[in-house]
Amino acid sequence: MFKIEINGVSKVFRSERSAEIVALKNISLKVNEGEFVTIVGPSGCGKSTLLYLIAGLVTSTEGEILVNGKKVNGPDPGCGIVFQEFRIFMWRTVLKNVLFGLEIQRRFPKDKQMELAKKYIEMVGLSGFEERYPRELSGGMKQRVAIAQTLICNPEIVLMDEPLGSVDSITREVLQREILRLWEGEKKTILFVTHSIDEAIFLGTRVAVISARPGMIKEIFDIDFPYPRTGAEKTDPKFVRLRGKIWEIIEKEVPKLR
Amino acid sequence: MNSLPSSILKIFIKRGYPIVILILAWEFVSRTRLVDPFYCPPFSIAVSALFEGLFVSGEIWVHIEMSLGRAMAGLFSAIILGVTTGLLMARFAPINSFLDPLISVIFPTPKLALFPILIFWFGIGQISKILLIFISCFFPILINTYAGVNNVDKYLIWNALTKGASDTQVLYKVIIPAATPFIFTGIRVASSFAFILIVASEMIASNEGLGFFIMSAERTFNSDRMFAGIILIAALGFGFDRLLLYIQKKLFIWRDTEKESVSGL
Repeated sequence: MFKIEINGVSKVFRSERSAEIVALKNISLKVNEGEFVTIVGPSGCGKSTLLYLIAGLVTSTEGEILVNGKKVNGPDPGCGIVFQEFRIFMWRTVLKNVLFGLEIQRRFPKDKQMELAKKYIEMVGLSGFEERYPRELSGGMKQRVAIAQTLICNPEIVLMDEPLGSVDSITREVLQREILRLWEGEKKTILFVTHSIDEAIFLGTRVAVISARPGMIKEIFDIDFPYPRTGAEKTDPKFVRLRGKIWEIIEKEVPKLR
Repeated sequence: MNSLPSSILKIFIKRGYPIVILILAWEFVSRTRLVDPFYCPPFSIAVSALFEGLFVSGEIWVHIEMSLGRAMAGLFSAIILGVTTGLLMARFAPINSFLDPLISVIFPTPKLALFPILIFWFGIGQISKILLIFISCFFPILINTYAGVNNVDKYLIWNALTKGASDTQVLYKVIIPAATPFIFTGIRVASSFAFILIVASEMIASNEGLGFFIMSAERTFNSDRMFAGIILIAALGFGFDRLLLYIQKKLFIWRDTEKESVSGL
């Protein structure tokens, strides 16, 4: 059984001002447990929408999505999502933000919750910042809070929507390696959306390339670099060739953005 | 612990000097008879009339209790009902479509214009005034609550939902905290209305209260008592606003605003 099964999914947005927007068309993808699948494509191609569909936040116009063999019909804590631009709660401290999911789910007593919170705060490298408010944090730090906030709930599937898009390139490299480390440690199934080809190849076990709107899967590549990945892969000729191939596919899609 | 009063004094002098200049100008203009002191007594005379009323005869306290009591009664009931209604309107479309047109008609009407109806129905006692305050404070709080709830970032709600939050949890843990700054702004606006209307309504139809005090001083040509009352109301309004600003600062310590204005705007 596949962890995630996306079968012939289309999503059409209808607005009052007549024109229909076909965000996604006939998307089919099967994801196995423990995979790290990256999704790359030009802006506005519906990548985020695909994640929202899997998370059950948006319903598909056509087709179905199965998680653990069951149809998705609403948000579920088994499927966590990290949004673009760190949507964490500004009125809560770092600690209370990370505790948020546990407060909601009430699975653990208070002391266990605190223990878990400290563990995940440390895991994302924010020890010492527990009592700070988000406004006192940099973009990279806020995104780490978002990641800890989602991972602490231990979802089997983690969806990440361009989580490193708003972060400077040095922090980005650091966080990429941290995300890989977390994935390897916890063996979750991850779907990671990005518009960076390098990032997609560096992180993933597989890369799905999506076309411009209406978003369709153009091609899926298997990445056979072994883990743990060090960054040296980025200069490997295989990497460079693959990057070129993917860029060629996307380059053809760019004029459609006009 | 003399650090607090002296620091307040320092802030007052640094930021409040325009007010001091204004008061000195007032004193000067009146004492030197540039303006007839019968019509505009010096600031110091008004203040001493105030002291007399507060600490010698003690008659002003009744008026203060009456005015503040009514204003707070109207304001607090408006807060409770305004916030609740705003939440209900934002959550349930049928409630929204029913109340929205009613609000659009009633809100722009100056509530003081409705005061005669209230007097007609309820007399010139407490009820008519408290109702007047309530109606006037209700709308800004309602409208700001509604705006606050509608402005909650959809992604924050999605965040909570994907962690398994129920609708009630979303309301208490996301929507209300996120909307609180807006609600609070509504409360600040509403309290300024409360002060205006309590004074106005007491000038029109009352036997006690600060509005009545000022008006009866005017009618008996006691300009020093009249100004005493005005200074008192200004001080009370100012003090209450400062209190709200202080609460705002403490409650919203997480907010990203770095403004240094005295007025808190």
